[in-house]
Amino acid sequence: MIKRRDLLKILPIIFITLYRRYNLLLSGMGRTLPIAELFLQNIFSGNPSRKETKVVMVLFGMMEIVVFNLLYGSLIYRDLYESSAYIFVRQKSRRRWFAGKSLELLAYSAVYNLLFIGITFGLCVWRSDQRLDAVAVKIVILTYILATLFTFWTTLLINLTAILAGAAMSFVINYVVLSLLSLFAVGFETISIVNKFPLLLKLNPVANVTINWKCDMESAALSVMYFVVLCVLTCMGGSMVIAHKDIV
Amino acid sequence: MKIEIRDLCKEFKKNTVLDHVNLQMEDGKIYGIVGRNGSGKTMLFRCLAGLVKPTSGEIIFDGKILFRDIFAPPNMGVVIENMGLYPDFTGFDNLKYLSRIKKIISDEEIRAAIARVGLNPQDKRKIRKYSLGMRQRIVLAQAFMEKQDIIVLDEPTNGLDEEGIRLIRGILKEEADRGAVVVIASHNKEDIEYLCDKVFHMSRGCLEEG
Repeated sequence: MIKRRDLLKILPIIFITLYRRYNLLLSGMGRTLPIAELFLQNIFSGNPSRKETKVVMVLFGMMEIVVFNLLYGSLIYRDLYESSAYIFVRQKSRRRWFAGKSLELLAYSAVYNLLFIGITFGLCVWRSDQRLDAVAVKIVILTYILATLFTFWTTLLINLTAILAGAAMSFVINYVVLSLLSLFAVGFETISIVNKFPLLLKLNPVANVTINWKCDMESAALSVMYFVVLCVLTCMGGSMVIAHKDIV
Repeated sequence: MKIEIRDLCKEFKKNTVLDHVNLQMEDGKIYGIVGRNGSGKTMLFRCLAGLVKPTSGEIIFDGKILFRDIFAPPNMGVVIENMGLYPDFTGFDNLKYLSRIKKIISDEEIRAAIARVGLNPQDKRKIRKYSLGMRQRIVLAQAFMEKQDIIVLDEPTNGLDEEGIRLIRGILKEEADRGAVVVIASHNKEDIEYLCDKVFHMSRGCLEEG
């Protein structure tokens, strides 16, 4: 059952997006730019070139995702300790319960990102003097799928870490890891230990959501595939954690 | 329903919480477990409810071993101390949410279960607005509502007034008469003396009849 309180938590993204895209709302920016380019400039790190991207831009660009993490980072964790005894004695399998909660989280992520990406794209269409073309539509759909999966994945990880290590610790661990991944994603060429292994860049989730996919459509499709696999693996790992967790 | 607990042990970081517990229970009887705080009563109930995996030993429900043949006890109603319901739902919505898992009772039966514990099924207040006694009653209602074969209650009369205690005692007798296995842990000696067919004493994780 989707709870109204949990659903209403999505709404602040409308104001956050409008506030963070004030350049599109108020300035004359980007009138002559194609919609796809204007949209890319306003999403995540804002730059398709790794060399021109800074870690702080990547982290700042993921602000909307961090907000979702904070809003839903205890969705599964809280339910597990609040009333799971009464749920688990009725369920034949805890894995089924976890699958249901994961789908609920994915649904929240999908609606949240629909508002976030939808408003941003809408502002770009409104601001640009250029015509809406197929490239822009393809890019916005890919961005939506990537953002939904990445938001879902990070929040699921926070919930699972909270179950294993406690709620406060899970946020600390998650953001330390995200910051390191952002550093490796942006400074890939300059960090000698990392650039010996090009596969690390392909497997870096932050690189996949901020920079990698912006090269071409093939890279974008690969990034989507990567996140689908990552989410499935995390769900499988999570269901094992839940199945063996003592509810004390 | 026959329940057998064989040589059950539970350890947490080398701390033995349950120490070779053996117990057999049959339907239609009420079993009482008494013991001081921290003696292992709640942990035994958590193991029985499938919430905690034993370190060794077996819990067998009608020949089926928990965590080997089945992953949750069959048809059990449970009340665990310090575990509540969703505070932002009404009492009815909470029970409705839980009933959707098995889908064996109707809305009318949920309302009847709420009325049976002395609450108003039409009450639109959220659980967070309930008093301690009302919260206890609604948690007890979820344990009885599906006519479970096994009812495991940790401190069932906690927070209840005298009228509430009498009501719950009556319900427990009715449930046992219906054929359910009822297991209760209580600090209230009167509850245990009045209700139980067999009483066990728990001390430092060991269970003894007496």
